[in-house]
Amino acid sequence: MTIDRLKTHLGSVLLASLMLSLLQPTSLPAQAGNDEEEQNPSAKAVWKVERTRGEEVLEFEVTIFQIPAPGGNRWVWRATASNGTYPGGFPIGSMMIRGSGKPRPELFDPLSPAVMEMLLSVHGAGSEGAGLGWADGTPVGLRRQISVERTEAIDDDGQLILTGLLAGGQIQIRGGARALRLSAFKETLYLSGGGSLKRAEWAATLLRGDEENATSEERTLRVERLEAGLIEEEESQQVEEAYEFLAPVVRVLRKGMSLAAVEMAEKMFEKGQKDHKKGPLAEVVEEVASLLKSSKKIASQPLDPDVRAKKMMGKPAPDFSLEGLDGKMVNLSDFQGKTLMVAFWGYS
Amino acid sequence: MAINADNDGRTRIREFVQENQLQQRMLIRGDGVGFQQYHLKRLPTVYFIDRKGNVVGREAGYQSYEQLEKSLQKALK
Repeated sequence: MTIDRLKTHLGSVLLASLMLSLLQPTSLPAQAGNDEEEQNPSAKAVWKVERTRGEEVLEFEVTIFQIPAPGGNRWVWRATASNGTYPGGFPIGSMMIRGSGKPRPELFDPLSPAVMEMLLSVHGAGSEGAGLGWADGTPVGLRRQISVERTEAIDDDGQLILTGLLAGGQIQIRGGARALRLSAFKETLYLSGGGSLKRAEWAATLLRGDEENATSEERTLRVERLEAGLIEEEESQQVEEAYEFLAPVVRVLRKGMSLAAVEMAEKMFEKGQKDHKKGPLAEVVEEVASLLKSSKKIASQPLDPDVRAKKMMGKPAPDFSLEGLDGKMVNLSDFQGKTLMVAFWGYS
Repeated sequence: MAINADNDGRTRIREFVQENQLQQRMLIRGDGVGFQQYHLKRLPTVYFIDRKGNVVGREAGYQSYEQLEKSLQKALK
């Protein structure tokens, strides 16, 4: 394999995003002795993610382990959020990337859309030169290519900043009663001299119905690579084994909350958790353990709300705090000493 | 008090309050409280809480004025 071909291959964004800062094409041996290994190195990268949808803000960190898999790579990811909840409900997942090509959509973990959006964004971040081009809308939740005008500039540190601005006018995303238009889009990619993605920002403004800009919705995604590096085969194997162990447990937890299902997951988990209590995914093992515990507690309750409500009789009413129609907050405890009739109602 | 547990919009709730000339304290966005803490199965559901703050009654589904009054009398005891 010639250096040029290898360059092209490594230039595929998957590797570029994770690897190139360490594995400069020029530093590779001219005749790579073991192509397989050179193309599929085990690596790890930590990304900081900030996503906004209007007023809703989601911040989390994703650690991606790249593990060689038949026909490509597997990305095993684990996510942590500052407030202790995971984007999507579960701390771990994986996706397959065939060769240097696109991720396999049928293998996506559908439960963590925020993480998937981030992974796809990093994977798909383009790096063509100046002029008309395309940007992937995934980072802002639009599954389509967006035509952009690219400018390119090199700053003092030799890092490449590529900006893509919506080319042409507005784009109709969806028609009909709930019409949606994209009125502004900006993609900013910060690439190191070697071509690896270090930071990226996407911003989109969407208009609903026939509004001009009054209540338009802003969507942004910012990702920043905190660290990246190659990992030893041993660590890569530990990640793979721990993932293989955790995946079925999480799958059961995700699908059913029946007591039988949770107990089945618990059984599977207890069998092997000792082997994985150390190693790169030790924290996730602990998180899944506490997830199992809380799931069991919920699953042990009777399913019928009427039956659960019977248990409330004669016991102190659970306190709550809700917004009144006038905008003021009201607590149940505000009415201490009074007899109360609390009516829950709705239209449907 | 009345809690909207269906996440209806403010405008809709206001219309409802005006149309029916409701006097109760109206709280909104009560679906979380209703379904998780108060185990609702269907709407409307009325809970009765006595002076000590204990749950003493629960009526699910539409109730006539007389039925509600009867339950309230029980709670007042």
